[in-house]
Amino acid sequence: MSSENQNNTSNWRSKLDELESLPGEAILDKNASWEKLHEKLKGGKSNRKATWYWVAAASVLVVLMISLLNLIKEDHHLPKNLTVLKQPDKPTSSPSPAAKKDSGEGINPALLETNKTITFENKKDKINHSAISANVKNFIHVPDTASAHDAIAQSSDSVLQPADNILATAIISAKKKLPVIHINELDNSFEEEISVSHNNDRHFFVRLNNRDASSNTSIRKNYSPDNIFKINLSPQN
Amino acid sequence: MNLSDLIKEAKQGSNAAQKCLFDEMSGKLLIICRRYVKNTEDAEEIMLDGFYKFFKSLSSFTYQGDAALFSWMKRIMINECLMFLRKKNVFTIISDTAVEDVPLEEEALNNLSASEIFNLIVLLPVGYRTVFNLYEIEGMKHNEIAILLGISESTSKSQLFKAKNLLQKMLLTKGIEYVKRKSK
Repeated sequence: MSSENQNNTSNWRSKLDELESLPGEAILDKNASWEKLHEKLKGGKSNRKATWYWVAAASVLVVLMISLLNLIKEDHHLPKNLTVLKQPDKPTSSPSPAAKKDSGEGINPALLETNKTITFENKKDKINHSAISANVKNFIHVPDTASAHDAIAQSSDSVLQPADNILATAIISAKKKLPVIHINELDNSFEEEISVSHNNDRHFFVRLNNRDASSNTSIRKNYSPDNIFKINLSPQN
Repeated sequence: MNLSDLIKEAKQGSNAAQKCLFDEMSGKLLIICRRYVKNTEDAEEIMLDGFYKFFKSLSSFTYQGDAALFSWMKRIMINECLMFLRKKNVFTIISDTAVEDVPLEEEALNNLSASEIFNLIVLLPVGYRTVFNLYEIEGMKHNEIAILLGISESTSKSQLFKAKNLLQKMLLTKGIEYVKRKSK
């Protein structure tokens, strides 16, 4: 009976396993499906290679595009930079022949020298403020400023331009450095205070429990940090 | 030429041997795939993917008999089917309360032909069908099925219970009631 049950149990499963084709459906075209599989098997390696080639090509393209974009950006930025750099050079350019004539005739020669030197400083270094301020101190003292100002007003703009530069440099001041003091450093201020109090020859009396106390001048004279406040007590009679 | 020789030649890269193996086994393996997947085209694609994997991993395979080869191939195909179903998010089964295992009315099924049994199984919903196939035909346990499908054991049990109930109903509605009576 049990063997019959086992046979029955495996019966429908074995029937399913014995099924050779799909019921009610067209038989599988084995050749067509094999062709598909064969192509897949063949194309596996070549596809992988192809994908790697595509990845490499794409990366090269990306690198080229980035470099091109950078170049384009640089090209856009260059003209702006050039204009900025050229602007300071304009005032320092050589003046016109008419201006040369004017400058030689009416202006104080000392002032002209200062202008030349300061323009040279501006060309050489724009950041060195301390050097510029020193130069300004040396050259800014013009003896006859009123006549010089008049002379400059009459002359061309090319001569005036460096004077503006002088003012600009004079305004810029170097930062002051605060003195550095270490906490552990002891100065003589304490001793000085004591000596000051010593010089003031004062005398005082204090009454404590019916006894007068007074400061002693001998102690005050021979003071030390320990016995400054020593006092002699004298019993009251 | 037997299967062992074909495997040897296929290992050496013979296309003819590979084709012979394919012709020999594709029919049965397609039926297995079709039991899990409703669409025949999908089943064919799954079978081709399974064969592709089989031929790619053939170098590591050692032939131990026809049955072992077939069971290995069957296992590959079932895995491919489950992967396909997982990709389609079929296993969004709501967990049900645990149901006691109900014995399948095997006698009723035994009186049916292979094609009739196949058609009944294919008509089951995806969740029921997958659990039924894995439990009743492949002989897996509920905990194994739960791990494979990413569901709980109780869900697997309830799915099987429902699959059996539905099969019973289908047998009745199809006018095969006499089988049930005969078995009683």
